[in-house]
Amino acid sequence: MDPKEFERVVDLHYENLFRFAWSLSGNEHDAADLVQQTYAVFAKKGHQLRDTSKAKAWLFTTLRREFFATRRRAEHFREEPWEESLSDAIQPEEMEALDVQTALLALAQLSVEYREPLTLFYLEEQSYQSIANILKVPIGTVMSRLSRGKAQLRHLLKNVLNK
Amino acid sequence: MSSTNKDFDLVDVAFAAKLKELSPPSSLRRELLKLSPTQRAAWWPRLCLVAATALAIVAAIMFWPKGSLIPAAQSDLAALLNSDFDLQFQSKNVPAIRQWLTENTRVGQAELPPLVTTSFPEGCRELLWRGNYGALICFETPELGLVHLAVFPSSELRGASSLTGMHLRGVGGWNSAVWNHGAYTYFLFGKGTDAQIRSLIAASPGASRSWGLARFRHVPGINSSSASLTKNNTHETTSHSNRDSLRG
Repeated sequence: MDPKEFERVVDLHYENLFRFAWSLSGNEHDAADLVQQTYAVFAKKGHQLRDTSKAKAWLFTTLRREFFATRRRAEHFREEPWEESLSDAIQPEEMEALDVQTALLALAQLSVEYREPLTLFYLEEQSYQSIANILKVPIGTVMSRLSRGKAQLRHLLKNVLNK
Repeated sequence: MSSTNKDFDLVDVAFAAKLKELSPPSSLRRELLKLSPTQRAAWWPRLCLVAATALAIVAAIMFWPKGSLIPAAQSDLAALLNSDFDLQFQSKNVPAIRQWLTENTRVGQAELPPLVTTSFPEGCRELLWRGNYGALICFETPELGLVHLAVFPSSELRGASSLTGMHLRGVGGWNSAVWNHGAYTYFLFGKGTDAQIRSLIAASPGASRSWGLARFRHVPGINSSSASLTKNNTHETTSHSNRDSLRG
């Protein structure tokens, strides 16, 4: 691979990959390791991508795979019962008090099945289809996880900010 | 924003903005760029290097220069640095590098300049040039990025023992400083101006006091144009009759 192209792909995506990795691992050190593992794979196999515009989806998919390979799928996916209540959700005017640490704290409290699509949704504003491709789940699953995840997140934000 | 635009309300916008404030560690980009495929040594450049070394050894025997070996050593070191050479020992730990040099090279007793001990080392390797064994240490500095230091015993480099002070010279796209300390001759290569190289060396703690690096002089045996201290980096071509190879 042309080193200039490699550098371009690093510059385009490493920051959001780091944020995605942080949302999965929950700490800076593991997130940085994950991003490095991902780009190490890209350095070896990236030339197989005929269209480098697809590098973004490839990188996110690979990072996710590396995360689960490392953790050996420690966290079990589960559907948790959740009672939605609009009165518990944070309102737009309350968001002014939010800082990045609080945002990360709230995100970290979500189960990984909601954290993943939400992070991709917020960071990259990826389409449902792109998120579905990265997570290898049907688009309907993405929509429902996003919906439920957002509801849980707003509830958590409300609680965190009120503490 | 793509097809998800319609799903973004004010809370989403505010949350996404906060999430994007999370910054990666400052060193992460640099670490990632080290993974670039070109950083990996392929087998064929090594083969080319071995072949070139063999040819150059023959040429060296045929065209052994009469004057100081310092300029030739600088040229060949610059050529080595511009090639795809390997580090035999990779470490970011100065004591570990010092130990490796002691155990694996003939310049293990050479004192490392304060500059090395206060920078970020990458690794080192042994060098063999015209029958002289030396060592190469590579390290990163915040000012100039990757910088290389070669060390040879002064007694084995013709012209080196008469060297006094420090001398700067542009060669092969590098700016090279050479000086003696103790029984050894040091060659520093960096991509910077004379002033930056001077500053880099003199700024390291203890440099000017115990290393005598505050003074920069003309190199005996080097013509005045190539030894100019005010000249910026210039690419110097060395004639084959004056050129030797370096095994790195």
